[in-house]
Amino acid sequence: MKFDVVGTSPVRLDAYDKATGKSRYTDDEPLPGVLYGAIAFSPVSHGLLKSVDVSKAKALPGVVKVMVAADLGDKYANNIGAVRADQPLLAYDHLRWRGDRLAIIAAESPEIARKAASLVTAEIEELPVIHTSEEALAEGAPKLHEMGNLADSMCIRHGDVEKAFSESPIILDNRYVVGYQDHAYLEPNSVVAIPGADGSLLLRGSMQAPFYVQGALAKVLKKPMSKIRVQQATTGGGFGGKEDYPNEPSAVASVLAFETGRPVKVIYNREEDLAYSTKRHSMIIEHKLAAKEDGTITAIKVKAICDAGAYLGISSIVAERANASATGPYRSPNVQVDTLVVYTNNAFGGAFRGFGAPQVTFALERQMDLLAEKVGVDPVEIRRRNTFSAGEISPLGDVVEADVNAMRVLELAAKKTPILKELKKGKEAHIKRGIGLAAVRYGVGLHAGGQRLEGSGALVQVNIDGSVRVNIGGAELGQGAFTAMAIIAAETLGVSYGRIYVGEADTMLVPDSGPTVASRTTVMSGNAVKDGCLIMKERLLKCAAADTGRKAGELDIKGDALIDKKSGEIIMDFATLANKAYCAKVNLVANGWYAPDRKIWNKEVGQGQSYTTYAHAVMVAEVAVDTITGQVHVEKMHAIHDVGQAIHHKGIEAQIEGGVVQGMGWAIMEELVIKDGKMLNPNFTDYIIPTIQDIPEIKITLLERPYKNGPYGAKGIGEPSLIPVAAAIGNAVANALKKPVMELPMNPERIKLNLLNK
Amino acid sequence: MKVDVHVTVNGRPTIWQVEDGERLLDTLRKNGHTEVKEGCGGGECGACTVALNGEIICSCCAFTQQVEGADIVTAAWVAEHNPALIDSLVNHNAVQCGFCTPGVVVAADNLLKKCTCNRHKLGTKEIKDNMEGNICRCTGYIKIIEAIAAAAEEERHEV
Repeated sequence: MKFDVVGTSPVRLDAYDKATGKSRYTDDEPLPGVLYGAIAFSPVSHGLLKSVDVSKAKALPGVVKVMVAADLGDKYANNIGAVRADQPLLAYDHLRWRGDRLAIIAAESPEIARKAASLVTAEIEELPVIHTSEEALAEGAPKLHEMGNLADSMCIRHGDVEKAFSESPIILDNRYVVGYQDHAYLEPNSVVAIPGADGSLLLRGSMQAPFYVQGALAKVLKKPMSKIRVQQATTGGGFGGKEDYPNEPSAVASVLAFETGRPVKVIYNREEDLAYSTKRHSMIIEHKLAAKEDGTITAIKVKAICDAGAYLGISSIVAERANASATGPYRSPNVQVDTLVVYTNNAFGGAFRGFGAPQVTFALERQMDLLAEKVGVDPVEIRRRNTFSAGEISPLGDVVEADVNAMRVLELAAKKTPILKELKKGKEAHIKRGIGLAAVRYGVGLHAGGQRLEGSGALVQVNIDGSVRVNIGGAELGQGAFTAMAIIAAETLGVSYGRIYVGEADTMLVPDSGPTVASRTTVMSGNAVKDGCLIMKERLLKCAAADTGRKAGELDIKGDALIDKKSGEIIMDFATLANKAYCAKVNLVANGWYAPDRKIWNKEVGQGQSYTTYAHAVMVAEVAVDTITGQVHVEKMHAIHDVGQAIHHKGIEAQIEGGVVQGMGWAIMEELVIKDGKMLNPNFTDYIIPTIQDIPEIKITLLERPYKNGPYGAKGIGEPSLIPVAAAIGNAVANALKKPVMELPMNPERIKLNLLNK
Repeated sequence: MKVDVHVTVNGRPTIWQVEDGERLLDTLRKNGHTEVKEGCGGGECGACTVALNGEIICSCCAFTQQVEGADIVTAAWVAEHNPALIDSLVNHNAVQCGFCTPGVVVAADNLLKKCTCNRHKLGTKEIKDNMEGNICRCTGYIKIIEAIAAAAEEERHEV
């Protein structure tokens, strides 16, 4: 199909303001009378809180308010849990991790507020720390919550795995351990709460899910949601880290704002952000795979244990995707997956680009390479033999969709990358080269378990000068969502891209559209924008028909003008049309809405329609491992992605390049060092993320086959770009060293240990 | 006690009254230069990069009292005086969340000035060596490199 705007690469709506420094992020907004909030965090990872002494903090000049749990009284609810009411806003009684808040402070400057926080002391009886999820599940382990340490679990039951294991000649039974990852968005968590005279609240901040924040604040403040307005300010990156965590600083700022009657900013510094915000879960994955002699998989059994940290947060939802991603794009008649979510005293597990899938993909794709080795075929052939095709029943219990692209991306990888070619040997004997492949089947949008949040709204307003304003419930985190919406609006209305302005996400303008996660915004909000624009276009054409005496069906809007469909004759320009419609009292605001069909899902056995659609991807990594230093150099990455229809070509490339580099960081360098529950490296000197010197060459191949329910055929791209990266690099390193790779990150220390193991 | 510090910021002579131990980053931001961002506060990420007497520094790592008499340039100045660089970053889609971008802009402008003086072609390695102090978590750096290389080419042809 030929489009006017879709698939081109216009300049991003926000690019100039950001590049020139004009964009205002939360802390950039001038605000008279503003106070600064700070938090006194727990000095222990596990303990009983006897008392908190805030007298020194209160006495510090410039401090306006200091609050401990008791000060919340009946006025506020002391509960900030996103899914389960297991997390207090201010700690009392039981301290479960270093991110628990002993006291919150509002002061005239950020320096005074932090100084006051450092003066807070507490009497604490320390308790034994739970270091790992396995320790937490062991008998006799101290209980972190009344229900015990198993916070949640989900499963897949499909066929009979034990029977298949007893009958299959090949069994691969391995244990994989993957580490945490911090999002390291460049702008730390930042919010500002502005109390209204009438008891209402305006909360602005850096976030991915304004509707989550609105809901959380209504609960904590005990106020109706109608009085709480949340606006997303320009946001300096999210990657999942600003999905639910902003609820916490938002609640701190809001309580202090109502107590002082003044606006309160809470701006984390990097150390606080690294130590206390959510992380990609560390997981232990026991993976048992059975196959016939020719490599046909007969059974997959997975036990994935997610370390949630002290509170559930949204770990259950992350685990749901891990659970559903455990078998990838492969057929297996017998599947048993158990995904456990476990409370510990460690870092706070949460959402991060890929949402549980990168961890289980690493385990599965390592297993596939081991299977290939066992059978004696190449990595493409083993996957070819197991990748399912349209009409089959997937291990998730649904019928594989008609336009499944799993095999197509695999064949593209075989053709377009050197995965099947002999590697050139380097001159230096201590440099070992390797190549590896990994595949992913990514469910676009929310899992069936969360489908109630999937509905998405859009507001489309045509002004009498012919300019168009669009608002969506989704957020712009840097991924380019607003630019994609402007393209879709321009294409649908038949006007130029330059006419469209997309305003910030605001709970008062658009209905609850769920969170900006799950690579869902282009599809869900995009469809809502298209819907709103179609409604608007119909109104305009109806008005034009009455005005010109022609039939609405003979008219169209194209190239910023009302035209005669048949002859192409220009009847009037768009601004004239808009003005005429206004004078004819046409409603020039339209509300678009989109919600995918309801999915049938059986949680008891993990079977049903898990996702609305799937995006497939294959990643091929070429690495060079220095066996003297243990350093892995990722030289080249080949990314093959099924994107439906590209809405903005350069934007898609940018998403893929960013996802590849972020995934590479997790694979080979990023490591949260946690000792007795305390993060020891909360800074970028010791928590190392990729710099410009570390990047590989990246080759991108897009498979563009429009998706029938996507706006102009689009699918999501944000997360598939990261999910298979570590798995592909892991396979490449194993290929280079001829040794098993069972752990992430593959940093020099682990590579050297691996080389020492016989 | 407040101290007077005389500087030139983006071409305008200014007198700042600053607290003892105030960071240059905070002084700039308090005086309206919110284009200078704080990403880490430890000289690690480069979001607060400014040019100080023609050399790039992290403004979070300088005390304002240390920069008496200095000439300071931020991204706002570069936007005005090197619009070709801004155009190149924007046209290459090298801007995503944008929080690192003002720092990238200052560092890239500084690099371009150096290479224009020497009138040589700017290679990928030189770009990487000069931009390694600016962390970007969104782009994977590739489009930033392409944008700087293209801006350098354009300048070379103009000289």
